[in-house]
Amino acid sequence: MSWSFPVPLLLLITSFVPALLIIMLKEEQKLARTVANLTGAILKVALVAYVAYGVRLGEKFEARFPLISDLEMVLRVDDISLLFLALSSILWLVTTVYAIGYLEGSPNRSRFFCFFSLCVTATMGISLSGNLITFLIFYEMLSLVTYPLIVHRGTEKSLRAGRIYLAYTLAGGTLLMMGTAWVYVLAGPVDFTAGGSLHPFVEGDRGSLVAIFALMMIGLGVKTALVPLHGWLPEAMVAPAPVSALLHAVAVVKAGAFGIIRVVYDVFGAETSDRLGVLAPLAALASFTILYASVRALYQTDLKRRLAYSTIGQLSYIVLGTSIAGPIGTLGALTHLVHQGVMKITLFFCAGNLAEELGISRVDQLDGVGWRMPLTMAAFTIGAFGMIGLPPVAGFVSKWYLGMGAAAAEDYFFVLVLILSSLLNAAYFLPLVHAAWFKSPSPELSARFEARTHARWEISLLLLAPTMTTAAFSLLAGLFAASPYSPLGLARMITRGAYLQ
Amino acid sequence: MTRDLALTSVLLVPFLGVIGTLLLPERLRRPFSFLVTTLVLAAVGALAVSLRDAFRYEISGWGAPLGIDLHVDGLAVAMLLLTGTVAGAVSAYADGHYRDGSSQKPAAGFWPLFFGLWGSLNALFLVSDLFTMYVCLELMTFSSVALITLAKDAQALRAALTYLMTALTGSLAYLLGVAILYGEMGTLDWTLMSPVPGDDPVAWMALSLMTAGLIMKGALYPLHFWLPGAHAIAPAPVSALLSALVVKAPFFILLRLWVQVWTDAPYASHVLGALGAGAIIWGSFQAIIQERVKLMVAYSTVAQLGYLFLAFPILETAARTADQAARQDAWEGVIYFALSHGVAKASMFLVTGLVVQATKTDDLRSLRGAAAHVPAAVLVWGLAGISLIGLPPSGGFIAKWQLLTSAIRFGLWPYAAVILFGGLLASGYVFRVLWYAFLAPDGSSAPKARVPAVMVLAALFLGTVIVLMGIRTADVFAVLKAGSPFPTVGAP
Repeated sequence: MSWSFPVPLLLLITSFVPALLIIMLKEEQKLARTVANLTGAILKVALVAYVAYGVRLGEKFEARFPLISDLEMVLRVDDISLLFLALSSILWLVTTVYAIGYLEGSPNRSRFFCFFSLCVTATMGISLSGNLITFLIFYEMLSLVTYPLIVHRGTEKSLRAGRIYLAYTLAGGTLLMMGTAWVYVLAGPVDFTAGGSLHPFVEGDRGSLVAIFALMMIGLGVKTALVPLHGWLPEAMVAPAPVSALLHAVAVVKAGAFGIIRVVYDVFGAETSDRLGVLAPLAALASFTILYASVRALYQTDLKRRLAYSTIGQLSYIVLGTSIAGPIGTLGALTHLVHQGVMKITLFFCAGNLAEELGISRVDQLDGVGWRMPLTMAAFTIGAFGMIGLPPVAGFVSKWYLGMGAAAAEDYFFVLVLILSSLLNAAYFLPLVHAAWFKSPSPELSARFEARTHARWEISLLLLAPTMTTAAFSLLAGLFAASPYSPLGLARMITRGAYLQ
Repeated sequence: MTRDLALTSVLLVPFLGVIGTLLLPERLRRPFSFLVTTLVLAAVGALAVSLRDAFRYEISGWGAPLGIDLHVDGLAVAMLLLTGTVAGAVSAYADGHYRDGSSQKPAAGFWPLFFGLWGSLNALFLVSDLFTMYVCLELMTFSSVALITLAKDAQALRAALTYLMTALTGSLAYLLGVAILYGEMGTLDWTLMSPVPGDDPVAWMALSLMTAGLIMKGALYPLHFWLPGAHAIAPAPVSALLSALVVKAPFFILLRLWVQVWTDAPYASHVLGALGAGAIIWGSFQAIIQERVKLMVAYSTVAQLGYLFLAFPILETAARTADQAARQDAWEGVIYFALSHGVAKASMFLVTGLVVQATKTDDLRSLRGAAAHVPAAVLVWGLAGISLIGLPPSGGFIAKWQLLTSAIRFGLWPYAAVILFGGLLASGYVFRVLWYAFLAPDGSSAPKARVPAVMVLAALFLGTVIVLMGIRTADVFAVLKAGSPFPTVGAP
């Protein structure tokens, strides 16, 4: 136990304590609530920066608590968790600012921000988990604390979405629990280690290992929205915009993708998974998901639903990169975990801005919007270009490495999938960008544009600033990809660790 | 001799409470009940803290077979702790419930019966001979039946009568079994009984009679028919006691018999296990389709009791394995399930009572908007619910994890599947309530009365215990190590 023992706990506490404070505040104590929210979020970013600095210097951050007999709750920081910690803490700060602006004057804000903070606590716990049981505990907690956020509006429709969400995630969680328990019975309380710890069982318990892998992938695949387990995601769009932004960029879906990365690399190990032959079916499923979701996205007329299907496709890039043998695919998957988050949150912020300011929710209402809300639509354009994979936006970098990984593993089919899906992405994003900048608005839309033009900015600064920030991140992550502090640089470090065993 | 003093207080002080609350004048009754509750809780706490290993205590030094002996081990103390936690919360809640000015309720009858129930449960968990257990069971049943009739309407009387008749039948079967067993074995002390009934058909008949009687009293499917009516009609604090504690008492005796005395009965244990699986599925399904919250919670008890009976095949298999850690894990998991279900179910009934008090009905639809009106109640319902489903952070998760890993380890796959599937079914009814609670309130929802703060605090206290049980597990497990039937040799 070193002097830095409580740091992983502090990372949890910086959002757990605000959650407790906020729920005790009265609805109208807005200032106190905002202070609690932002203090926690800023402290957390500072802590993550401190931890990142420490990890660079070779410091170990770990906390262990006995749970059941020889089973421990392990919270620790390693390279992969650092990647996810940085992503979630920074995007959380941004989303908190956005949510404060977005929910101005709506009811039940204390409840909302309490669960919002609990949600980040659970996500932090997921990234800090050092073994499967800890991961499972926070993974289930995340399912639960997200429920009140999805049903926040309290309408029949949002409650229906909440019910579908629960049905999917609880069933998935059950399978994951079965898999986790089975691993425990087979191998004992194993920590996550680069290279995995199940290789001694490949000879004797091959059948069990394959069954465990299948259970876990289905369990995690629900949150990662692998087709056919994706049904809940488009429904969950009824939640308030900051929640959808969060769900799609960091919290729920990323928890699934992060879990898949952990299971493949740190529980089974890349080599063991390869020997079991379980990666090929996973890659096939991911490829199918990518193409299917892209085609479905083409046919969505609701903007948020189109974005939702786009998320489903983009997430499977991460899964595909994970299941392609070799370090380059891994590099692509890890980088895309971050890049997709930053770009998708930008797009959802933009969708929220459009709905909030102009009441626009359908893709055919975008004509000429670019000139009414230039900054928002510029951000949207950056995000959309990134999703397609155009340089110099971040999406290009990760897609490049995914493609390189597939080529290096001589899986040319996957290269084809990537190219095809990029074309489809372009087909469902470019018309929106084109309409926004180059078409002239219909009379009804122009009237809406005119209705509110008195403000200094095109929309409240609390909504605009987060949008611009994440758009800038998307550009910077692409432009400075070669820097060791970029997501790509970090991912390179992790990949080196994972394959130098 | 703090230990002996604590032990004696655990046994006697509740009965002092009975006498005191009967005889003392109205104005002294409340401080007196408070004093008694505090004393018993302190004694249970002292006993739990001082417990190092299982020990025997001879009341007034008579010793078996003449006197009554006490056998104190981890299981007994764990049950005492559960009883203390639930009874403590219920006493605070009942204080608010019966003093609430808006309704004229018969408070006078509650306290003597409450202490009688508490005392008989404490005695039942401690005594070491089967006949004294019978006496305690009867005392417990009569207190429970009388408590149900406090609701004072025809329906409650009918439910209480059904409960009384069923419980008496069960008790008689049990008593008959005990009598036959005494003739065969020459002792009633379970710690002295020969561990092998062997091929002796008379002993087997005695065992079957006792088991059948206890199953009836313990409401194992399909003999659960009396439970939903009785538990749903009683006043909320009474329902909490019945569902959390009273049904655990017969299970406790069964655990003593089938795990600590006769370990070698594979077929019988699988029969119990299969009935348990049936209870989980049938009970959960019934809970999902109920339109009244209290009935839903009562059926949930039927389902959760099923999990307890999965213990028998799991522990029976455990007894035949060599892996000591695995055996202890299974044993702890079973007891932990009983404990976490007790706390979760008590808080669920208390919360339901809160909502009923506020809206005057327990129709599911009246919960509309509850998340906005009574957020604390909805929060505690959620916590109790995740414990019943088996999600973290809660005692239910830890218990379910232990049961699940044991089932996998011993290759009992069907039971593993039932454990997991039962959790999903439980989420069906837990979230059905939350669905209404989170709906935005509309004009049609009934006017909301205020409830005394002490009732909310009692429920919140139990909610906190649920979460703590999911985090601070080591403390409870340390208690369970004492006198476990599967001792871990060489463990610290």
